[in-house]
Amino acid sequence: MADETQAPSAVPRGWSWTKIALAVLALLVALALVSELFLRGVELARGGAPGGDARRLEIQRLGQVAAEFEPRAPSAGAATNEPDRLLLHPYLGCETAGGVRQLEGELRLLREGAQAERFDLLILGGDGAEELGREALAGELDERLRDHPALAGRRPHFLAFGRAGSKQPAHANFLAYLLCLGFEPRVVILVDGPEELTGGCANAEQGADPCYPSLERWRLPASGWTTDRDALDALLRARERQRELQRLGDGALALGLQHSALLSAFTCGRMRGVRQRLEEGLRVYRAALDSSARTVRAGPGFSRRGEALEACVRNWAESSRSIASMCRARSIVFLHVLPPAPRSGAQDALARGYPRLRQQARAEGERFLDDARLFDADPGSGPDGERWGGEGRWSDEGRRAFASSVAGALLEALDSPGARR
Amino acid sequence: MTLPATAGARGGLRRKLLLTLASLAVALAAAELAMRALSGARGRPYSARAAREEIANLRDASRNFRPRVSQRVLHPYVGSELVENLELLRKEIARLDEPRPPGEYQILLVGSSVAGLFAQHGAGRLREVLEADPSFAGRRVRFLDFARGAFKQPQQLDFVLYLLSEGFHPDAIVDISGLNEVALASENASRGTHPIYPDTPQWGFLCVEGNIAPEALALLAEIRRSQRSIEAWSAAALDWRLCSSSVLGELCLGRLRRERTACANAAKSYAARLLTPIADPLVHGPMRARGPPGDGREDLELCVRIWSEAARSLDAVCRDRSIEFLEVLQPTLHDAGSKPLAKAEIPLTAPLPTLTAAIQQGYPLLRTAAANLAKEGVRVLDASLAFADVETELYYDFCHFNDTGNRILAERIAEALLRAVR
Repeated sequence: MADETQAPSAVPRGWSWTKIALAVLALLVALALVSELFLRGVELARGGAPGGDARRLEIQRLGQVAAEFEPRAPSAGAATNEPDRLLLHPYLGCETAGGVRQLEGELRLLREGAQAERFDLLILGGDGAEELGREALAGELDERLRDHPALAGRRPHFLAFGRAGSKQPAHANFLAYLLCLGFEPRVVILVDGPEELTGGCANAEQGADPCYPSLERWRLPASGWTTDRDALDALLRARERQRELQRLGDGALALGLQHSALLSAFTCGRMRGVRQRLEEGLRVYRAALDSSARTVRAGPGFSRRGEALEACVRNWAESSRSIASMCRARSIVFLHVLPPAPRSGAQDALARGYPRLRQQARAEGERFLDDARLFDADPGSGPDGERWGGEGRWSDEGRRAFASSVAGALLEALDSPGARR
Repeated sequence: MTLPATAGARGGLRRKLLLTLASLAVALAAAELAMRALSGARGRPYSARAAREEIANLRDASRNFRPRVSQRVLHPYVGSELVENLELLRKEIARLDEPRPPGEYQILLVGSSVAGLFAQHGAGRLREVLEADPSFAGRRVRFLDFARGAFKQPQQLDFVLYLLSEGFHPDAIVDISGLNEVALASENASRGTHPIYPDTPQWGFLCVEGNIAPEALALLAEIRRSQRSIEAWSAAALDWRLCSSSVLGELCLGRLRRERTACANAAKSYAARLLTPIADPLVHGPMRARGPPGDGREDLELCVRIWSEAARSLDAVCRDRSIEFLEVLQPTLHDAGSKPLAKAEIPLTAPLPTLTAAIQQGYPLLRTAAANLAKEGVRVLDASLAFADVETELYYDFCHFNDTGNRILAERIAEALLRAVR
């Protein structure tokens, strides 16, 4: 009776659910095999190598993103061996890794008592000072100084602490720092001006303190880390994606999925999706870092945009005055040099600022070498002048001319009464 | 025939369910009453309002909590600075645009926490004495407090250099220092940090915060988990008015307190991790070629040299700007013979690792350096023995003194400044 009252089955007579399931399964397997063969064919047609190597490499490459991700700004954290890498410094804002090693070397020599037999010339400042401190240029100075009576037979030794991109008051702090460490230079050559104008005005444009290190240099070291809740969430999400990526990659390789074009394509697709989300998370994290570290980067800030140039000039003048004072108190010969203005960067700030710097320097009455127009006197025959290299930088000829000019002014300074001790 | 039986069974089931629910309600009510009675018996009667407030407080504290070691941020020229002080600096810089009130005499104070406390408790007396002097007739003294806890030279010098470059031009600069220059600098040396670098606990974590190891990240994840849990539980408790019941209110509070403890513990471990000494030149500064281990004398001589050179530089930058400068060698309790001890001060002299020896050996060197600076014409006030005749209690810890101590120091500083001004 029960069979008679049953509704007609949806399954055709002679079929059972088991048979249907098996048929679907067989279809899927066939489909997978066809897809596998098709994908391999496409791979070969595209010039790919047969076998799973390429796919394994692809999975490894995607997994590599996980290993490379470090939740920190590139310049914060442990030091590396790259000499140009910027590291945080408590009194200079930042210092290059090479600069740290250079100071350690000089401190070793100091401890060995080398200073007594030397005539130390300290070079401070920005790009121009770094150029001047280079071996070849220091050699030029060395040659002309060696027999000068002020050296009294002592060997000239250059403490080349010029740092490209750095600006006042970091140079004043550098001198204070070195004096505290026990250095006793006989001469301080300060080459600055352009960075104070261009870096300071650029800072002010972005609402940052013109006296702070130039944002270009300070931004990364100052944005090392934040513990804002939003930033932390973004960071932790990114870390979770990183783990997921690692898991997917390791799991796929452990199961040998790279041997299947279909499964590895599926795995790679998933991994690309996760990597995209990881990159998105990192963008959010970096944006949070950027916003959180604003106070650190910009300092007390700057809102009087029209007066930015005046603030830059004042920073330059006051800091060089401080250097002059520290030198005077120790009978150190001080030479302040205004280098040729670079032809790249903020030309407006340089054009308006250089006359103001000259005016200030004259008012200070310190020994001042105005080399701003050094290259104009002999422009050379090249498209940009022989003394100018590419991209508005100095050529070798320009560097030599500058070193020679500084050497001349220095000899004059050493000839002056009170320079010998 | 089966129908009545089914209806009967259904009725029984309903009765049983109702009975169970009623028993549950009675049990909950009994638990509620028992809980309230227990709270009352413990002398803290349950208050739904108080519970609500506590939940809201826990939630707000969690919302505002940031897992960092302190409110310090990096500063490019003095190592670090408190966020609130950057705001004060911003205001002071804004004042530079305004004309200075006629007759205003600005004294810029630099130094460490002792100088900072002096600005709060001794500056008033200093102002009083100065303004009463005929040479200050009609002048009003204003202090610019740039003293910072745990600062030591050359931080004060660098601060002054930075402020001058910003356009500050005070009439006088007073640096109260000496203690940190030998004590904290020696402590730095004992940790493998160069004595010239800022105090390691203050500077070190700022450098390593960007260096996130997986363990530190796990701690941060735990902190955020606790924070989110606190947020969710407090929202549930407040939105559903769970605090009206002492049982549910206490359950929520218990959970929130546990989460808060978990959060605090993870934050503590995170901070401890950041403060753990690490071999990183960012933290420790330049490596030093040193004498044999245990040669504390060499470290101390370096510390004193740093203090002395920084004072010389400060004097020089002030002299050329016609700013009066005064270097004050501060008194400190561990400096033997610097003060007859009051009864309450005796426990404060208990030896402190590294610090006591550094102070006892370093202060005589500082006094000699101060005398040498004075011979060169640097204005130095050796106030290290300013309390040598004071038997009453002045210190409330090993280095900070009370109002009376600050007044004594203020009078000594006023005397020295007046000598310079007259």
